Amino acid sequence: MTGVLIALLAVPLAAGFLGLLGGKRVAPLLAVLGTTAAMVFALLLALEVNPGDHTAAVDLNSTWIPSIGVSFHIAIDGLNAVLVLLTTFVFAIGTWWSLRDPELATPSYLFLLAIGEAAVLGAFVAQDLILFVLCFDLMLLPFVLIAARGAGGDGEFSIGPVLLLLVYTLVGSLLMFVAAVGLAILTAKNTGQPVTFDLAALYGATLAPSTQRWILLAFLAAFLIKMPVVPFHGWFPGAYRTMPLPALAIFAAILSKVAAYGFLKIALPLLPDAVVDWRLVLVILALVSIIYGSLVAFTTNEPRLILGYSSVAQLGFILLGISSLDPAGAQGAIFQSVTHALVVVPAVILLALVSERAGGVERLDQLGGIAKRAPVLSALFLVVVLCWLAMPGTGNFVAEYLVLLGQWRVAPWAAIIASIGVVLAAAYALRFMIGAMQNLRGAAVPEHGVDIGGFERGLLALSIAALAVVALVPQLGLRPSDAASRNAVYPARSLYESQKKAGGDEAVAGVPAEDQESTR
Amino acid sequence: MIAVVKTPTFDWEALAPIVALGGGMVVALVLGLLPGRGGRFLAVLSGVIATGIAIGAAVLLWNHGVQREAIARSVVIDRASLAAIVIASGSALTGILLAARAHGTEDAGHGETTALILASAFGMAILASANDLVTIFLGLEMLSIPLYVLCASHVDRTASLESGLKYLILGSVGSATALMGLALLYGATGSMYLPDIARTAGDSDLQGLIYPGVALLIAGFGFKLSLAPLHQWTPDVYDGAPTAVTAFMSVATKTAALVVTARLLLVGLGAEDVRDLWEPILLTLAAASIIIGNVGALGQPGMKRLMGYSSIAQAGYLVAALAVGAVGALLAYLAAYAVSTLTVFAVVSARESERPELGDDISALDGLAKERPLLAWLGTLGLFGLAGLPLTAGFFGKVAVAGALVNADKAWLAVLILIGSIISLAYYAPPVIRMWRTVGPDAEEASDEPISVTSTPSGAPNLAGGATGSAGVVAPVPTGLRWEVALIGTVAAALVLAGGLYPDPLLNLATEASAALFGVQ
Repeated sequence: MTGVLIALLAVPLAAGFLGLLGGKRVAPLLAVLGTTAAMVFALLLALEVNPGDHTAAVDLNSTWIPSIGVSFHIAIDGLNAVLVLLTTFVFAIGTWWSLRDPELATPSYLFLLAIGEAAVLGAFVAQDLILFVLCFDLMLLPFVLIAARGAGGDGEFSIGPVLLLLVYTLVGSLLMFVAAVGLAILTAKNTGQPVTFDLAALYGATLAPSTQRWILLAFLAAFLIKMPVVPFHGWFPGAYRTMPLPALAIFAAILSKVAAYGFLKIALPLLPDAVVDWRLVLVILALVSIIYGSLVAFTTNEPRLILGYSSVAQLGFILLGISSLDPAGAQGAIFQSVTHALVVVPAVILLALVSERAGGVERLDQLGGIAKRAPVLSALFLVVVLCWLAMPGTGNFVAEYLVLLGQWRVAPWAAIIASIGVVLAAAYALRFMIGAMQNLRGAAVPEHGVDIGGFERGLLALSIAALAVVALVPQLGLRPSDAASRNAVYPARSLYESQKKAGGDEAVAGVPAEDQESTR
Repeated sequence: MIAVVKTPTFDWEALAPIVALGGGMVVALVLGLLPGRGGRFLAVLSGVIATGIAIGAAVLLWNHGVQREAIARSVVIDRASLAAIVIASGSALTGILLAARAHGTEDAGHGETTALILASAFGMAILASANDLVTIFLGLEMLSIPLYVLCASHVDRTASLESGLKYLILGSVGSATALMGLALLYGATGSMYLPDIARTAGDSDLQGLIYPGVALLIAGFGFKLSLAPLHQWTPDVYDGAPTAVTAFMSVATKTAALVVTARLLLVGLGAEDVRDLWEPILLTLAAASIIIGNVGALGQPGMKRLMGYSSIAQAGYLVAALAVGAVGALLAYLAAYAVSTLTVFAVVSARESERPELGDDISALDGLAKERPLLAWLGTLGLFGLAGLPLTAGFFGKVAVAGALVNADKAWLAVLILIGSIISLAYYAPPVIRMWRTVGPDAEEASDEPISVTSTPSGAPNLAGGATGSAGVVAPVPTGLRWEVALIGTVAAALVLAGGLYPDPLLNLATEASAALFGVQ
């Protein structure tokens, strides 16, 4: 199966590159083939995963840069299998949908998307710290270049949002890179072994808590910015406004999930002491994101930003699940990553279809009344919105429930505050639905509209089918990560529980006294 | 009566790359005299062949592990000098190809341009292999004088003439400073020969002469490397010189100057006491260059000025590695810098002939991805390589340099490099963003809405007012994409990418070259 694992990364990339060489005629065809093939490969790999086993199901370890201890080590395990499958699905939908617009889907653009796909998949399957960091940095670049397409207007100022996207997120990534190098070198000093970045080797040797703290700080800089979590979200409104919608669907659905995954793959197992120390900070950041994101999503008039801020809120839930240090919370976080991505993609597609019907206008106060003119569009919109606001019976509900359950076990107050976000989600999602589709005819909406065509229906049906799968059989998305998520939170979890026993209420509040570190 | 002169022994085999460059210079000069297009073609061809032979010979010598003194004791061919010869010849090749059909060098005559580039590369090869003080100075002058002429070779542009004059005056000051340093060094140790100097330089009696000598040497080579605060000439000269010349000198001069400085300081003056003197000086200059270069490059309107400031910052990173004696890291980063820089200049040069009214102005890159996807990909790779982003050689080059600094307990400088890299994103990224944007001054609406692309019937006239750079001269006619420029840019970009995908060979080669440098003693 290692061949399939390599093909998973190589085939979409190769298809994109051949498309670049082949020109306008063959590039779309190759892009469709590449993304479809990746989806098939991901499915084959996911079937290999044994839910009861947290070790890798498919593992490939080869030398890459031996002179600095970096290996090309990739694997599929319970933690990443579902996310890999999700990534290939989202990229496939996003790429196919891009093909509607020949102006947009140039060979270069399709190759950029392919690079993005390979980088995201690489980050998910990486079992080497440097490989992860490289892919984490790399996955941003194609989207920066795609966003640059829309960096319009005259003069220097207009490229600001794109520049902000690049610099803001790369600052975090560069800090993470330094921390990764520091982590490996310090671990090597402790163990007396040559420097290695292989995660399996690093898991075994945890650093001193004081060292862990500054390293975690750098990792947080990367993850929290990329998600984004509220005080670090300054880059995203501009980026959301400039990015072409098909690329935005992928960007909003997938890239933030890599950061969430990074918590479970890197931060929790490698830096358990520091994570336990700062658990409260993470919980508060998550709550702030949930409340603030929901409130802004409820007030803004720009549909793109409604999606963006709602993502901030949903990412807050994911962070909340992770910071519960509870297997249920962690599993909920992974599942929420899946369900959120599956909602965002059709939501962005719907937004594009709506704005096409209003002459390209993307203002909630000028839309409205489209439901009567495009009933199929409206019906599909409703389905997506119901999943979005996590109606009981949807996969999103299961995910949020698991997150809240995990958090309830450690800090009930946080779960209570977070549940306000669930209510607010209903408010902003329905407001979006009503504003865009129902109401009286908006200023920008023409008298006679047309409903969506077959291609759009097909794509939306695919996305909604995926939503239906996670709603009807959530076990499919949950079970693979059973053992793996338990394993991911285990070091931090056991540390947290032993501190709680030793330090009583103080540790529950998340501010352990310094001397507790010696109890390990 | 004929005086009997004892001629030194020449090791022609080891000298082959240097001879190829020198011979190519003569051939190009002669062939360039032939009238018409034939002369132009033959001159360029001989330049390409000469640099090709130089690179090929250097690679062969490298594979044989050659490490010997080639002209008496004054020239030493080892893997360090071969590395410098390969990079210098590669950038000479790029320079020759960029100049071949460029507007700027049209009037200067092609035989002359090619011959001067080869002459300068010849000087660089000698400088990088110099093993005694006189040869160092000979190489330095042989390198510099052709460059003064080349900078001024775009004769109908005042900026070019100014550039040449500025470089001549400041460069001569630099050369004179270095010469004084060499003289003091000779006065102190009584020897011209670097290994001899190494034996006596640590002597505490000699400090009175050695210390000022070392300081003057660093100042002299600091000019060539454009280290802050000796950098003032760089942006103006880079801006004024024809693009092909800027491309050549930004890479090749640095390469030769760095290798000779490494040889001089680490081999000749590596004694503990002397090292305590030059190490802090170099660290300070590196730190100053990183800050001044990166801050200065922000908001530069022209690509060549931007690259000028960027080269100051890059010199800072390189000298930081040199200061801690990490020649392996230095050469790895140098190679990454070289290919990235040449890629960027190939794109700038290609745009100059397509949009002559804009010249090297950053706005000439607007919408490149749509017009010339190949150039956009090349430019993106080159600029991202300079910024040290992942998947480029620059990334691992920076890793090597930062690692070496941390190993030498100079983590503060590694942090400064990190900060510098973050700042550098703010000037490397805007040209890239411009390349990829589809909505510029030409289009009105953002075209990311699938169906409704509103086209403006009166598309293009807004470019009329934007002419810059060509001071009062009638703008030359735009030409299409020159294939040789695209070709050399593609080769350089492929190397940038190869170094980012599989950096192990690069790192190993750099380590081998570094071992050779220290093995000379």
